[in-house]
Amino acid sequence: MFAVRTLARPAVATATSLSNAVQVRNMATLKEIQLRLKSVSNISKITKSMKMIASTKVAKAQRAMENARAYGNANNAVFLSAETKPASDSNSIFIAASSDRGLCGGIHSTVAKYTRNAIGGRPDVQVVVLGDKAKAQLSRTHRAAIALSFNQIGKDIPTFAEASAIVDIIKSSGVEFDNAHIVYNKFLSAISYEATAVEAYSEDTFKNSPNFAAFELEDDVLENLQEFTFANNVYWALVEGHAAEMAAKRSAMENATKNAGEMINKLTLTYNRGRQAVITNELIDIITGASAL
Amino acid sequence: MGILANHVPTIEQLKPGVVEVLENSTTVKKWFVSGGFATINPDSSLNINAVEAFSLEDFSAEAVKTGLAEAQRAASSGGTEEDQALAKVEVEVYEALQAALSK
Repeated sequence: MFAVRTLARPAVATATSLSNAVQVRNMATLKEIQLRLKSVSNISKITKSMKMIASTKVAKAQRAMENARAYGNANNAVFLSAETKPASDSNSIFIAASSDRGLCGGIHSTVAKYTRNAIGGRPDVQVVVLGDKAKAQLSRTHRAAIALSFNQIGKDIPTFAEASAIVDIIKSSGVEFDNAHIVYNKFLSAISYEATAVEAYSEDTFKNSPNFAAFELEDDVLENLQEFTFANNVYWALVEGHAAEMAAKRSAMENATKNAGEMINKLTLTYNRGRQAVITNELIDIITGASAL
Repeated sequence: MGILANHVPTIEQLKPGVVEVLENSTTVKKWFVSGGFATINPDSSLNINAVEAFSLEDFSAEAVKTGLAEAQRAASSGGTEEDQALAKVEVEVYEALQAALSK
């Protein structure tokens, strides 16, 4: 009897200390899960508000884009009817129109990929980059080709003043070209966009177009026309790219919120399971202790 | 310059001024345009590209007068060449506005 009793007590002691360790470990895990839950729910609040902001901006940006499209098409109608085409060995430059901001899906990489493919292997092509993110993407492969880069783009709906300032700087920096390919993201719908290019031509390319003789114009108008149409196309590319970016940001934030929500659900389940395990262990301790007495 | 259907294809630079659109013989719409280009294409379509355009009713004669006076002062007061050129452009625009409003 005596022996049984002494044997019994140490067993209880180890059992309690073991279950204490398990309890401590479970509490630590519980705390970790709680921390993760809090941080993930904070993130989901942030992404949800970013999505709201982006969706209001999309509506405004889309309206501006409709206007810019009509404007750009009217602008390019001249070149269409004059059938302007660049010469096959012409000096081209590329203008990659993107923005400075991240968290907007694949906007910058689409523009960079299109530009890279369009440049192909040509060695002398120069690139003007609008937006820091696009510059980062393009410098990975074509650092030497970047002639100029602009930032502070994409904060708000682009204005014609910005576009004309860009054209001004390009002209004064001495970058010469026969035709410029302006690469931007074309807005297809609220969830899709694709990279395209719009062309701007120099005076000589326009003068050499097949149907040029059909137009009556005074001589000094040509230079102004070239600058004006160049700025118009840059403006169009910027505005449409901005609309595409807002839409992409909206859908990226929506996906992020959805994923965060799923993570929260999974974490909550794990947390509850852990909590119930701790309670069960405590119960086992109590019952074992009570039965040992 | 007056443009009717089947005008010869032309490219014209526009100074700031009034554009009148006659929709039919009775309705005339007027806009004050900031300057740009008008192109008539061989298919007889007319495109006017201007940076800004407002209908004439949106302007107040008082504001135009004060604006003109300020711009004239800035144009004659000197400063850098760029400032003077900018002020001269402003004076042109305001004078055209005044002429348009007084008609």
